[in-house]
Amino acid sequence: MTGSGANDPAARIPTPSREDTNVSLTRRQPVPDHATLTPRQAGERAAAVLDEIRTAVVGKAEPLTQVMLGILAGGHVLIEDLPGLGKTLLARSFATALGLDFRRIQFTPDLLPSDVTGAPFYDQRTADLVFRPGPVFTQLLLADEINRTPPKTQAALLEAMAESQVSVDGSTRPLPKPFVVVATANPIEYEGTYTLPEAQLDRFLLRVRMGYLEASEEAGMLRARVDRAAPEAELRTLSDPGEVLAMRAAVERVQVDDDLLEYAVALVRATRAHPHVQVGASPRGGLALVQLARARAVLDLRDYVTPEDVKSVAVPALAHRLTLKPELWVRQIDGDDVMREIVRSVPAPQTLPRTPIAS
Amino acid sequence: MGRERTAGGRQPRGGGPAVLVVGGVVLAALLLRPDTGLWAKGRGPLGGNPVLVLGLALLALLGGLLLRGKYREQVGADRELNPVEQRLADGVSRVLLAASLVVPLLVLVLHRFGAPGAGRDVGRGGGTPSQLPGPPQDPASAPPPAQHAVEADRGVQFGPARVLLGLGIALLVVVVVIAGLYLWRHLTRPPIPDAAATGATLDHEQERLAHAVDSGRRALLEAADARAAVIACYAAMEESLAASGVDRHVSDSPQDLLERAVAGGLPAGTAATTLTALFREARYSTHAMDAGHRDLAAAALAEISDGLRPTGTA
Repeated sequence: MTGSGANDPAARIPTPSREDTNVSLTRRQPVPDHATLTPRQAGERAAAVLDEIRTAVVGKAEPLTQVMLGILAGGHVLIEDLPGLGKTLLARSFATALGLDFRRIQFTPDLLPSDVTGAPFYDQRTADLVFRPGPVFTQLLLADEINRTPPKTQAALLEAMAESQVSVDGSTRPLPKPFVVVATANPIEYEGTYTLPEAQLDRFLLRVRMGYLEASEEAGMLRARVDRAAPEAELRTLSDPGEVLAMRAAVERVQVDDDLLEYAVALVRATRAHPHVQVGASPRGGLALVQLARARAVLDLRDYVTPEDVKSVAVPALAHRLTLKPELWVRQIDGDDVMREIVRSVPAPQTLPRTPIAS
Repeated sequence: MGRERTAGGRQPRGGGPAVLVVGGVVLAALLLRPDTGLWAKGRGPLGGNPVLVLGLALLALLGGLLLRGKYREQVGADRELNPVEQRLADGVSRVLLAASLVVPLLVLVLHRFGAPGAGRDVGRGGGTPSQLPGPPQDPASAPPPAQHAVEADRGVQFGPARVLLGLGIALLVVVVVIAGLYLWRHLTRPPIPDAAATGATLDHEQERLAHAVDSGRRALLEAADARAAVIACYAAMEESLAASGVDRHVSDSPQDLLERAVAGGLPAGTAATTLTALFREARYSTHAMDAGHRDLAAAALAEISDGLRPTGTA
């Protein structure tokens, strides 16, 4: 485990565990130069990381893939599901396998913004105010139960997510690269929770739902736990921050046909015109859709996007950006249902291109 | 029954006929002016003509059956129903069937066939079991039956009732014409292709299949561009699949179509997968395509067309 706070219960109290806390991680860990990766090479590395993680996280093939898509596409991931489904294990496994520095914040109602971002403190030796970075200065941050903290603290994190920097006490400090937030939220408890506003949900590139394991998978998980005689599986570190950045750069080299861009726009616009939707997806949703589709192409070892890529990521990329009409709560229709219907109804690109493509 | 419709979906139709039906019922109620019990036999101003009554009963029967047929055709046409929706649809269908039979039956049973002018008197008197209980009437104060009938006839012949009668007849004619048109369209509608196709349908499908394959092969020979040839091959495969009953839906990606074709028993699944992969590369990438790609596509198309052709006709 690369992250110092990975297994440390004290990480619940967001105080940095390192001695030299006044130096940002970016300066401490210079990102090594990596050879340029092709989309195919990036896809192979990502597949190897996923295979390693699957040794620790039993089942959950699609959620694992989606989290990897979020990391490759350069975004932040919201995992929304019930407690005990392995959300923390999943985030920690990604940090280990990717070789990223890992911190965890357990969000509570009394958590302050400065507990997340850090704050200046008085150094008696130098008689000066020195900035002590908060746990947000890491490469993979697990924001556990983000909906348990008041909006002010949520906003502090979400601002850091959007800007990749923290402004405290008049100075701006960049966050390390890569910077990935994996936030979890419990969708069924309302007592003592602060639901994330739609504008802040929009900052997450995708929302992942874990779901329960199949009976056979659950039995396999228990068997694996009994056999290894340890709480968690030991994972190998297969990558490093520089390679993660190289993989992200490879995603940028994936081609997207004009017809597919129009298809993505059609999907986004359909969310705005749907009768069940009060507020549809924003243009940022369209960007997320295309970027995730490119990441999906990389995972499939391709350097071009296909309609299947767009369709497969439409629900995780857009469903959490929809504000449904209130009456749908009674009918138990959620954003995922609406997005699935939209995907089923919006015309996909035609077989024949409108403009001939030369070989 | 549909849970939700997408934006820009179909608009609710049938508002005109619904207004027509409601208006007709209101007019009929005004004309009949029932002032007796629910089960009392009698007739309104239009009831003097037994042919008209029989025609109305027949119309109700045919209309009900037609409505039920349309309902069963429409519900579940777009998507599979879940068990609850299916039960509900079955229930509605049964109610429509029962109503189609019961309504004309009641019209015939409760109508008083006989000489004009006699209906209302009989409906009031006689002490039928369904007659509503009322205060005892003084025989001396009750008007004579014959006089009452004359007054009723006079009410029909003069005043607004006469206008309403004319309107009612006009409305009836309109309803009959519309029902006739519906029936004509229903009877002349082309039949839905059945799984057990007739010889003529099979011939037609084979023609389409042969045409699709030929067009793909022609494209292979004519197209100087390997990319265009591969796309044309895939388009020919789509046509072949459509000819064999697997149409491409508007929201289908190539993978969706392939999965449905394989699930539907496509014999050349490997070739279809190869051709689909080639198509994706040709259609959505800028990779250079050469004669090797073209040959692969041609071989895959030939295998697919052989597999789709009915046994003994290849």
